Amino acid sequence: MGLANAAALLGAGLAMGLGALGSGFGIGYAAGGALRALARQPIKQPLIFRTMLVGQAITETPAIFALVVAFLLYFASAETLDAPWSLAQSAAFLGAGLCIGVGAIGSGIGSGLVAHDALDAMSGNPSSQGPVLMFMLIGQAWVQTGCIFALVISLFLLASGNSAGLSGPEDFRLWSLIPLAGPETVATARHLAAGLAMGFGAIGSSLGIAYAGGMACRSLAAMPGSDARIKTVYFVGSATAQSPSVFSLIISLILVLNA
Amino acid sequence: MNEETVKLLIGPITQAFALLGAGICMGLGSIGPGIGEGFAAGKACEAVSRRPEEYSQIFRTMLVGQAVTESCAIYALVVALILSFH
Repeated sequence: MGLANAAALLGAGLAMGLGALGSGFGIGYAAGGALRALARQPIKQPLIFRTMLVGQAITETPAIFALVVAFLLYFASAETLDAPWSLAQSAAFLGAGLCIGVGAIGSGIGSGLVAHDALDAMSGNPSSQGPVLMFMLIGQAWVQTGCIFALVISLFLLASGNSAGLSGPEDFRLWSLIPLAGPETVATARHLAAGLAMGFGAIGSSLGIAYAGGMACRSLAAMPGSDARIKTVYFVGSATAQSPSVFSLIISLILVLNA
Repeated sequence: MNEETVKLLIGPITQAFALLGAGICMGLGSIGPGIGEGFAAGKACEAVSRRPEEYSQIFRTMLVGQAVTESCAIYALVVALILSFH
């Protein structure tokens, strides 16, 4: 057992535990929207049921990304059983888990919000189901960008952890946990900081884009005639709301590529 | 210890904390602007559906409001860039 091994296992647990949080909430919220829609329009049951399932399937993706990274971290932990006690390598594994785990929270909740609002809007005005369904799919796909950024940074960190490291003491010594000087300290900080920046950076934009998507679906159902104007406002507004997560991606890439 | 040795010992620690600070700064700093800009976009959609004829004014006001909200994220970006090249 080494430090990197333990960090990879901890990272796998954090990735899946935090990653399932948002999707779990979102899928349940989509189901709640479907129930409300059914109570209003029982005759539209097949359409509502189908839309709910499609929305829930897309809401599932952040959890699946987290599952993939958790598996990769689990395999990485098996390969680092006898690795030296490298702090930088351990930080890379821990950062990868934190990045996708925290990054999946916003996208999971956000996708569920969009599906809920779309189902609600559809049941309010059944004649607008086609455009609302399209807006729902666009909105949910857009909400996923945050956790896709987090997945990219997680994979960079995993690659960095699998290649770097291998410097450090062979077995446990107390001072190996507090390296006072050297590039190892800097690389450790870079890995952790990259994971934190992209993980937390994905939350806000995903939630904001999700709110915009849900309101766009509701507005479309309320005023089907002005869908071109709503589309323009929605697309431009969501693109602007995306920019904070792009800033986070830039900072994370600077941090992880210089490690 | 002379000054050179101290710098050699302390330098990487300072840089490590600056880098950690950069990551936390950009990560937490983009939560608020992201939610806020999305809220503005959502409310603008609602406003357009209520009054489609006021579309251009709503659109302009939304963009100005989002630009002001964006400044928070840009502050975080600037501080994070300064810290990461410390």
